[in-house]
Amino acid sequence: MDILHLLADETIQVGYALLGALTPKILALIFGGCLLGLVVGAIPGLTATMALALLINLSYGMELDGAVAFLLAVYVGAVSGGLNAAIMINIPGTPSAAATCLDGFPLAKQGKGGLAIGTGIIASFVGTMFSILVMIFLSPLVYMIALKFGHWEMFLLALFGIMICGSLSAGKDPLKGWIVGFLGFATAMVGMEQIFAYPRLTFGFLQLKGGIPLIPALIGVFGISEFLAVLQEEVAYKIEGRVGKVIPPLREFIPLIPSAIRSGIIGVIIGAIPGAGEDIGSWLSYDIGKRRSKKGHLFGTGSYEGVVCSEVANNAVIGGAMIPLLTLAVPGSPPSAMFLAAVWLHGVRPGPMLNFENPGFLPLVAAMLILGSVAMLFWGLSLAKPMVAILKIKREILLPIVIPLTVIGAYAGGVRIFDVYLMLGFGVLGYILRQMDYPLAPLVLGIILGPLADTSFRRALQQSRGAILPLLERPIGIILMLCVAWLIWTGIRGTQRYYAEQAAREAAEDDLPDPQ
Amino acid sequence: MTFGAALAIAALKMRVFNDSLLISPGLFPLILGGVFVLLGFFLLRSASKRGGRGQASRIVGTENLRAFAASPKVRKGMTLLLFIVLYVMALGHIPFLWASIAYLIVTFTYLKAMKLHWNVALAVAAAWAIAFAFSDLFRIPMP
Repeated sequence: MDILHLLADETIQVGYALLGALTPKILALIFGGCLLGLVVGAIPGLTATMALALLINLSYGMELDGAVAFLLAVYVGAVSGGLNAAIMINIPGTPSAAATCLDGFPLAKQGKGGLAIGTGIIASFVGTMFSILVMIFLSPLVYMIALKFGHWEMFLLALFGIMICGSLSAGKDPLKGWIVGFLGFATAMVGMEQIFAYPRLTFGFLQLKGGIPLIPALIGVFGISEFLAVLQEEVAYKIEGRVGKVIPPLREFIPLIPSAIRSGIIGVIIGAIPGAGEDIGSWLSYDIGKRRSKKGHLFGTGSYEGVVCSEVANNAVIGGAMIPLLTLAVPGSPPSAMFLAAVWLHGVRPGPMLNFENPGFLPLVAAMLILGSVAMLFWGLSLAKPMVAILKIKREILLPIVIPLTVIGAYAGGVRIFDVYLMLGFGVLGYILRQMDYPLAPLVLGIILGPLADTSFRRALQQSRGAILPLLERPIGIILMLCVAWLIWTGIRGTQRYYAEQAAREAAEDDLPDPQ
Repeated sequence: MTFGAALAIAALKMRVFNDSLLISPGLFPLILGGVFVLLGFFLLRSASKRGGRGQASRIVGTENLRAFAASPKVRKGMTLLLFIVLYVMALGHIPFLWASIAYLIVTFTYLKAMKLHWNVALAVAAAWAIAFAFSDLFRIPMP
């Protein structure tokens, strides 16, 4: 009964937040932010994380509700904007739209590019709305569980977060993901620790006493490294076919409803996994859709169902990612990590205590996401043709303009030129890691979760007076430890299998007769 | 492995509070150092099993390094990075607007974005628009 009461209360609060947001100022921020997000997302090479990195500085001077409205609208717009390039030029605007290329581009070649864009935009809207509903109903339950977490469980949660993020984002070689995750933990050790305020690893730099600021680090890792990685590649592309009609007939959607629901569920689950992100959700949903659908054989040849599987899932990740972010302060995706950094600046501390400290924040997020997805639907359908025109602008013109924006983003938070140097350092680190096929999401998650892991671990040991056994008897802790152990086991097995396959492939190539 | 060892040594040098390492600031970095040493060992072991020593000497060999440095992709990436480094260094000494104009002109020209006069015009317009929008419109502190 308690839970039903809580859910009813949550729904009413979302309703109030929605009504409260219907002011000209908030609506202008939502529609403006969403449009900016759509444009940035549509440009190949600029991701949703980059969109938030570039536009986060605009939110510094806003009130909390305005900043939340603006940033979430940018997030929704940028995740959805990637489909325009995926469909019209076969290059995903954002990595989350990569699976959309497989069916979107064949549809564009058949002269149905507009219908594919329209279907993708409506699917994105459905995915976001579905995930918001799940977020509204699931978050109170997670809050109730999270309140039972002690220091030991919080430490294990942080550890589980980077382990699973490392496993999922590194693909076949989880060891790389874990190394980067622990590197993030090590980065978070810089500066004064939270128990004795003792400065660690500052190397004599006064500026490092406060720790590594999150926003410059995020902008560097995702912004600068992405800029370098994208521009060093020579990619020629041309717009395929004409856009044509955009809004698809309603009857086309009815057979797609089961796929949309399945993709929504997949997206939310992937979103709720720390650091996994939109691209994993989209690929997984597409893959499952292809195997489960009666028309799976048509996937890859220009199937609307394929577009729906990818686009519903990548947008459903948004609401899913907000669940661990709001309840446990663990971001579910890299753009949500950016959002977390922004709300920290506004004095809001997501986590188990959020409902007591800021009871209206979760309903506010839900309301802004709803309005953001309405704005995305409006702009996405009405601006499909102009959006394609943006793709005609050369990347060599658009991308360099990004760098001054990243500089402002890094500088404006702390008003220190040192933060710009830090951004550059993290940009170089991100670029090197990218070149060596290391994933970047675990690094960011490690930086965010590092202080939590460190403080919780030491406080747990302090509570148990240094004894490990009492800690091993806690039920939630046991579940989390089993999850971590399972991740290590499957990760090591996966790495071994990957290297064995690679060795076999290389041996087979060596055995091939020399053509000369 | 070296990074892990360095982290562990730095952690051991940190102050111990209340005569107990358990709550002291060095505990977690010490464990992390150990984890890096362990992960580094696993990486080295699996690499050596796959004939890593031979591959490593081939990779750091003169021929390979020369080919790496001559690769157009690497050169382009490094040049673009150099422009950013110079731009960021310049920001500490000259105003944002001028540094941004210079950076954009150089980068547009290097990337052959447009004809030179258009590169200059766009660089000036973009840098001015950014500076005006952020400092005057949004009142954001500028470098």
